[in-house]
Amino acid sequence: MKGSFFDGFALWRKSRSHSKLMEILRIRIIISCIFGVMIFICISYRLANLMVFEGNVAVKVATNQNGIIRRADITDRNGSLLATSITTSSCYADPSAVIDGNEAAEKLSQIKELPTADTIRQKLSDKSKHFVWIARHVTPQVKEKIMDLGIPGISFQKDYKRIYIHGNLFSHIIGCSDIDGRGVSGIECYFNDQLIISNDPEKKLILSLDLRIQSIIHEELQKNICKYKALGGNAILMSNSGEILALVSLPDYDPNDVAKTPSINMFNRNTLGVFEPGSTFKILNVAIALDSGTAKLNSMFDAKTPIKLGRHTITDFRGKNRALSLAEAFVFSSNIAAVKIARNFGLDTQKKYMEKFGVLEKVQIELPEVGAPLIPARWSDATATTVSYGYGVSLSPVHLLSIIASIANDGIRVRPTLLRNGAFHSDERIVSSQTSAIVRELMRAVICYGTGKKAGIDGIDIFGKTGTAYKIRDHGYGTSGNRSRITTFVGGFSKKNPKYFLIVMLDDPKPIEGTHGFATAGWNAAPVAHDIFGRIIPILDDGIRSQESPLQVTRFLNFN
Amino acid sequence: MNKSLLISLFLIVILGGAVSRVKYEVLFLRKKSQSIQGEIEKCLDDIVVFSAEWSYLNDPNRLKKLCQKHLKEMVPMENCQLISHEDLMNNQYEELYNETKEKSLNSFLNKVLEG
Repeated sequence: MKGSFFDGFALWRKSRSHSKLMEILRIRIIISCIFGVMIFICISYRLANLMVFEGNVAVKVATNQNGIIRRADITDRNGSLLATSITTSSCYADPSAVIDGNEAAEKLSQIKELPTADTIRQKLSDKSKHFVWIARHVTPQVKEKIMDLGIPGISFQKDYKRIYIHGNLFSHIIGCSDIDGRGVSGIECYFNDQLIISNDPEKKLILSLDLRIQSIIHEELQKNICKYKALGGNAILMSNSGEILALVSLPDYDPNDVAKTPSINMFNRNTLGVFEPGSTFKILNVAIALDSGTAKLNSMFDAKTPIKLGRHTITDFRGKNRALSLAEAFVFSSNIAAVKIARNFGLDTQKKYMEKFGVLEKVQIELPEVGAPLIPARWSDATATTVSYGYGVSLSPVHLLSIIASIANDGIRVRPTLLRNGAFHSDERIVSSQTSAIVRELMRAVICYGTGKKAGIDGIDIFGKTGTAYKIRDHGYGTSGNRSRITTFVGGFSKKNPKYFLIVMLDDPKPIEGTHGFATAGWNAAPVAHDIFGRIIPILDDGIRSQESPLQVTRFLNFN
Repeated sequence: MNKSLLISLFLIVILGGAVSRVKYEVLFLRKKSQSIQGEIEKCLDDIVVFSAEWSYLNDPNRLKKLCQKHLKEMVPMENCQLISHEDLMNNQYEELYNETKEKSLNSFLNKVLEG
């Protein structure tokens, strides 16, 4: 057999010339090599593509198998854990492998943490399915009880449960994720893709928030909402770099138990709610007047006669009924003088500065729940008039704070951020350094002599401005005695070197014993700010203690 | 030809044996690696739980309640207790500083003498 094969081969070889044979062989080898190399190149390209260019996608595909997602931890600026994912077990069934669905349902429903017998029976009824969840995130005790039943077709799968350690405290910032680990609100939603990780426990998201400050502001706000019988309230503390150290909106909710939360509690007043800012907007009015050079601190404006605007009359709350200097108009919060200051610099200048301040744009912050400002379609004379004292435009508190912080921060734009070291360093100037210094002096005078007295702290150069705005209801602001207010305090410390800015708002506070029948910001929002300042200053900085009178402004004030 | 065939067969047997050994070694190591990986994962899960517990135990409200219960004589620091370096260097505080220093020294000496 062997001999015949070799003999045949020898005959075949003889039948062709040696060179021709070699030529054919060489061609075949080359073709085979080219074919092999092409396959190799294709495989290499696909591998490189998967590993290098689509690496994240591949990780996600691997992570999302069976819908199980592990999310990265979220910490505050000091490394305190705010949200984490812990490993749990989830119980599932393969209905096609369950022998008696009714019996299994009856047995499982005996465990009180599991769904009712009917629910389980319904899940197990479709024998064509191979996977149905029985219960997610069961405790080790429940897992043991289920395993003891020994029902074929019932198994467990490793799962991750998102835990929000401080409950309500950060609910409006961190938000929450659904049972499958996908962010549905707040930071969890905004950074959903970045928070989904495979097996990197070191990966974490560090926020600019400070647990201690957040806790203090939450506690003080809650206490004062009860004290002033308000419907709710909110506060933000921001550094001059734009990093938000605390952001509290009340009422709030427990993200560990969202199912039982009324939807109103999930509303973030600080970023989604837009409100007319009231007298706090006079800071912008004065800044425009000073920066455009149309008025000085001693410029006089007649605040004796109320101003007619259509059906409405613009008056002053406890007005002085005389001509006021610009400094007095600001410190005594005169609406009439504010209108006259605005008419002095004109509609075009006002609109130009509003654009420069960023009033007309939506504020940028790392949350999906951000409300756009409500601006009139046409910037008319009436708009210019009402905007001068804080009506006719509506902004979110974080938007208002960022604008006022920018004016007070030596005139350099401050962009709010919720990330540590996430501040956008800009040298964009919105008002001159001199204007900024005078505005801070004026705001300091409000604390020393004006409506913000109750926000003052001995030994600290706090500056600020109060504002009381009537809430719109039934297409109007209500009638006397039937009005709801939003009271605001916005300010910061210290005047010489502004490092921190605070905004406090109370929704519909009521007059209480000790406020002499008043429910304006000076009687409620300012004391809340005082309580907050008093507790956070010792924690934040010990190098800010100084107290100076606003000398530059005081000489233009007449208290009669 | 026969010689080369024998050498080839011998090499195939040797290589086959080596590949088989490598395969079983890989299987063994993979099993070991999976077991170590499982242990690492368990440790990491435990770390996550402990971190969460630690953070929960350090909740400011909880700490406040504990302080109110166990450190009744201590109160939070107030602004008036803080002083800037510049103010400290001012003369107005020098007297206060000396007085406090003297008081502290006296109280310390009294304690030593009583002891």
